[in-house]
Amino acid sequence: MKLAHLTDEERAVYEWQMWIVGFGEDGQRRLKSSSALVSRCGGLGGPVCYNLAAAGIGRLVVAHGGVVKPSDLNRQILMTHDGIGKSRIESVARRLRELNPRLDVVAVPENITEANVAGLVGQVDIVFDCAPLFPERFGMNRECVRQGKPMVEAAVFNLEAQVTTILPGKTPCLACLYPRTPEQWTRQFPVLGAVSALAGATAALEGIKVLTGLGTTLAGTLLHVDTATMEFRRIPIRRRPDCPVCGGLPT
Amino acid sequence: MRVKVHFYGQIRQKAGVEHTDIDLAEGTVLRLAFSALAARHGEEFGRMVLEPSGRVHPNLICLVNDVPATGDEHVLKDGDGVALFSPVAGG
Ligand SMILES: [Zn+2]
Repeated sequence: MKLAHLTDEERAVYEWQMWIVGFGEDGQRRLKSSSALVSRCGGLGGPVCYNLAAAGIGRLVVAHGGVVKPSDLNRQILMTHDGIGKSRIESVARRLRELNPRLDVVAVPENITEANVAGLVGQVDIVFDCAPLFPERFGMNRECVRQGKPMVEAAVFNLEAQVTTILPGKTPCLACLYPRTPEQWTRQFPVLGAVSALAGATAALEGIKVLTGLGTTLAGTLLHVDTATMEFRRIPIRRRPDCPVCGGLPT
Repeated sequence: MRVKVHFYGQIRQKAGVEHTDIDLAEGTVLRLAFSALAARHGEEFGRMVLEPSGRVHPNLICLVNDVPATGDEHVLKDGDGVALFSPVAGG
């Protein structure tokens, strides 16, 4: 990959993170040369986008349908009170450009569907799965496996957060983790914004690690955090040889 | 023998408690421990831990003493701590 050069402004903005051993100017140039898809940009995806934008990723494709509702505002920190009734994705794009005017933002005013998933995944280097419904999550998982793209899988419920990094052919995919569609999962769930933000920031960091080679990722490990007790668990997860999605890939 | 079970995710709502102790016959396997729990915690809980065939539900992540338990026939011991995690997709 031919890496983009940094401008004087970028050197000034990213100076402090380029002091991180293992990241440096090379990591910054890798990040600038990278692109990511974040599907949806609410309680979880919002902090993912904001942290990637702050860190200096080059291009963000953000997908989220609908308009801002009062019940979004406890956790969807890229939305604002005066945006109630207005497009969510316009608010997301505006807030990201305010933070980082150098960022190339592609705002998609719809959620992931069977019709748009291949085109959206095809535009980027990495995908962040922040959808509230399993059909969207499974659809992105299938497409990421098909195109061989890494997917950071993050989710919250109540006071719990979990994150893992899926590398097709190397780690379990989402269908290895959950082989059946969870029939009892519902659209509405208990959630506190600080828990979503913890999961979102963790997911963004995982993505930065995958894109730049920094540190060790959660590949093959499900991080589960119970914020009620602040217990952090690293759960080893395994590929299923009979997985209908990734079972055919060589190990 | 007595085993302690902790619930995480949606299954905690279905169980109605964060954790519970259950008394089981010596040498009880996971699958049968789950059916004893299902009898106590109701039908929706039961569908999260066991498939209609009676096998352990493949979506369920199950740790015994913090180690992933693989297989329906994992034999439990007195004092074991079981942690159950159901699928999560919240954003
Ligand atoms: Zn798989």
